Amino acid sequence: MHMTALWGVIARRLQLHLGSVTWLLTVILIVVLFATSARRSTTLFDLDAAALDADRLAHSVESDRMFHVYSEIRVAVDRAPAPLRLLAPGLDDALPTCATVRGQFGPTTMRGRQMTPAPGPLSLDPAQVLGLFGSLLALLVTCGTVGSEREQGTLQLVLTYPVRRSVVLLGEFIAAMLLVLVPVVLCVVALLTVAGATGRLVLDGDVLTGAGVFILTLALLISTAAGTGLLIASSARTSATGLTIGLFVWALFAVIYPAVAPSLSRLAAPVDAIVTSGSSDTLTKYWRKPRATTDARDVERSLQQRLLQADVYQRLTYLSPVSLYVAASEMTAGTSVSSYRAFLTSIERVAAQFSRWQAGKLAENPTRGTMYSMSDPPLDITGLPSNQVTAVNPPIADAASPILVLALWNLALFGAAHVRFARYDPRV
Amino acid sequence: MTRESEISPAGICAVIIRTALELLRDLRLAIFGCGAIALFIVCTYAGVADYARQQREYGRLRASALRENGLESVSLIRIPSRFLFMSEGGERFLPNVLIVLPGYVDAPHADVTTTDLLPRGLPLGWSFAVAYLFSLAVLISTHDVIARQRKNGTLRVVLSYPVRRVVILLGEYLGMLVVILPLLLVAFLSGLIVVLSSGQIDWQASDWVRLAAFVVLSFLFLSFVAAAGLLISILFRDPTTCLVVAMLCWVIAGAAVPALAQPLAHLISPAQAPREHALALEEARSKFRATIRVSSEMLHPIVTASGMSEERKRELLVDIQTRLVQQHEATIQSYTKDLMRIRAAYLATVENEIDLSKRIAAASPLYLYLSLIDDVAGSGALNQRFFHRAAVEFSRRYTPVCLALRDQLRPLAAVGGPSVQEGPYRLQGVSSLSYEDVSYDRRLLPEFGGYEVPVEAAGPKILTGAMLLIGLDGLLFLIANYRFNRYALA
Repeated sequence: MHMTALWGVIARRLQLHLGSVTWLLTVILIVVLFATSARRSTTLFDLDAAALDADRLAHSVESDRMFHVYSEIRVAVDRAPAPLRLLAPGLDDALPTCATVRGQFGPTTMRGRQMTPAPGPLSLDPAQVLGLFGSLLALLVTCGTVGSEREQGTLQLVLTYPVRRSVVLLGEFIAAMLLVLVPVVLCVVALLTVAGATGRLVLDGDVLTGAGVFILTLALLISTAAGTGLLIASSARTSATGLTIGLFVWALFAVIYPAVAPSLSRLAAPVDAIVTSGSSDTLTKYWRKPRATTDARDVERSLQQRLLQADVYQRLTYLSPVSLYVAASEMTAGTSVSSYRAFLTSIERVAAQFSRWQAGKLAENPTRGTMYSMSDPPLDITGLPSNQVTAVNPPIADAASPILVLALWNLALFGAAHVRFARYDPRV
Repeated sequence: MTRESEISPAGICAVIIRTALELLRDLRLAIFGCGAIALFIVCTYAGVADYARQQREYGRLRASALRENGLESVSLIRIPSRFLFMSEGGERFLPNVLIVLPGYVDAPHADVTTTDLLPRGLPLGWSFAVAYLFSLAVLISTHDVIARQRKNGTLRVVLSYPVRRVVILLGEYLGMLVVILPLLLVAFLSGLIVVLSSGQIDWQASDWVRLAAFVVLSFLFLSFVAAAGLLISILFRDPTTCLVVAMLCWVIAGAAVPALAQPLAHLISPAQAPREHALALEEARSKFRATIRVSSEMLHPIVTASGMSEERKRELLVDIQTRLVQQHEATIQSYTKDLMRIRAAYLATVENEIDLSKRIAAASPLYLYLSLIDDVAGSGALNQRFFHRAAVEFSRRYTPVCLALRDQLRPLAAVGGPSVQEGPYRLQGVSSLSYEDVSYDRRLLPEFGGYEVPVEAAGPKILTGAMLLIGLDGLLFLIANYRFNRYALA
């Protein structure tokens, strides 16, 4: 009897929404925006992959060279593009992807393979599109439910069935999840399938696990939105009030807060600007000998400040489920600050290795550091650390805490919705 | 029947007052309006604090640039716009340094080692508050005026008054504006008090013009939003549908159109990838290196000679360097021109894409408003344009003086010493001698006097924008009127 009643509620809801203009329009909006952002994301992914290949080629040509002095030798650490950056590019485009380690003969320099020259006024990643509009759709299909049933008088009828109210609520929830999750997950699957079929992605265990965790996070976000919607619905007397509150909550948590949070963390943890006139991106490089226009300490301080700022932002994301979801999806994809930290650590490791090697060789040949004379024998480079590519394995464990917090949001919202609905007065 | 056809001022006034009272009694407007005003004040604080910080930063960067500037190149630092609290305009993401080389002004891109580890987000400021928060408040309280009245039956009573429907509609619309204007003025005055009492901003007479333009444009924008709300309330009969449509419009204007702008612009006129640009520069460089090659046989005897003083070695190297520069003057010049051409072509494609994506984004009235306010505040792209113009002007004064001084000081210039970068021995920097350590009277070089973004600069755009907004207002009202005349009460 319970199951029949549950299916009844679900079927009614599905029937009501599947034919509605609101559902259709929002799904079309999601698909169009997802396709656009996925296209952009794929273009950048291709550029990144091509750049990695070119960098590696250049490095291998360089390491095959005949070296005359130890100061000529450099070791490169490349950061491979994370496979799931297709879904959540995150910071990947803004981060350095290639480090050149010079050991005792100069500072480590970093450069990005792909700085997008013109980021739009407001660019959305595929993951952001799904989170932003998926949660909107979930609110749209839940916020007005109880109110409209009451207004039409059907609520009284439904509640006369011999089922508990929580079953009715569960039915509404399952219907909402089906209505939202199916199109949204199909988008993800389509992108991954296309990427797999075109040879961009090798759909191995790691990638599939990452994708699974991503879909789980997405499902948690959608269910948070559905839970919020049901709580609002069972607190509002009319469907219009419920929808107004729901849409306002959505605008606040999904649009305004995520747009404002970066500015807040910039205010809370400012970063000092440094003049980078000697940066590799200007013509001066092609005229004059490179000189350090910026103090290495300034650069180091700026890095620390920026990492601190990112931490502040990370904490601010806990206030909005949508921000939380975006942060978690970037962690799963390996495009968040934590993967940058991992990259920095591997550079440090290589730099330490290389410095040790240099020190050993210079102890044997103190004169061959920078000066070369025609009569010198070839340079001994045995034991030289090789150029390396650090694969970005998605540090999925990092995503655990935002996912957990999302789950807590869910529990709290459903508990509250349950309590409110149990006391709902169904009279017209 | 004759009375019904005339437009009586009293009738309009009655409808205006009724709508205004209705809106004021509405809890939604009270909540959203007060929230928006509070956030407006928060935005002002954030903007003023940001400006104070930028100002300090500017002083620091300028001092460090002044130390470095010389015959090699001059770094100019952008002056932060005083009206950051009104609109930041994405200034943060534009290069804050321009590098003037003799004959060329170079705009560096944000260095990958200094980019923020954050999403871009939207900068806080007055324009953000109006575009996102006030528009939401206005839309939420106006999207169902007609549909709600139809539903609760008051529309039937209202339409039975002996006035024409256009009068009722006009009354409704003006009633909304009567409520919006004080809301905006309260927010704006409290923001102004915060700004003036902070003492951070050096207030000038022309700034009142900017403020007036801000208020007028914001009012026009919000009245556009109100007209959109009115139209939606007529187009859809059910208040719930009205709400969903209104919110979807807000989302499309605020997030979807701007998110689509960049990918579309990239599709239509793609900017050159930075990597390709770097490769093109590198190619020109290696071509140049292949033409002028210093054989190590020439340098080796000098560098390794024993019994020769370091000074003598240096003199000989300067001789070689000078001879090479004279010998290959034409090649060096064409190399220089090649580099500038490649660089300028690249920067042009990037600028094209940014411009185009802004124009596409302005298809959303919300972004049209934001870009207008950028210009009113003289921040963002407008500030950058004036900065660039001033840098070009500076370059015109700097180049001849710099080149004359370089000629005069050539014997003192450093050759950079022999290096072993590419094969045994090579002179560094054959294309130019290094003047970094040459001492001369720095006052001979012209000084960068700064620049200002005048109010008039934005004039034409603001006028066009204002006309456009008024036109859009009128258009929406006309459509609403057309539909309202056929509005069925049943």
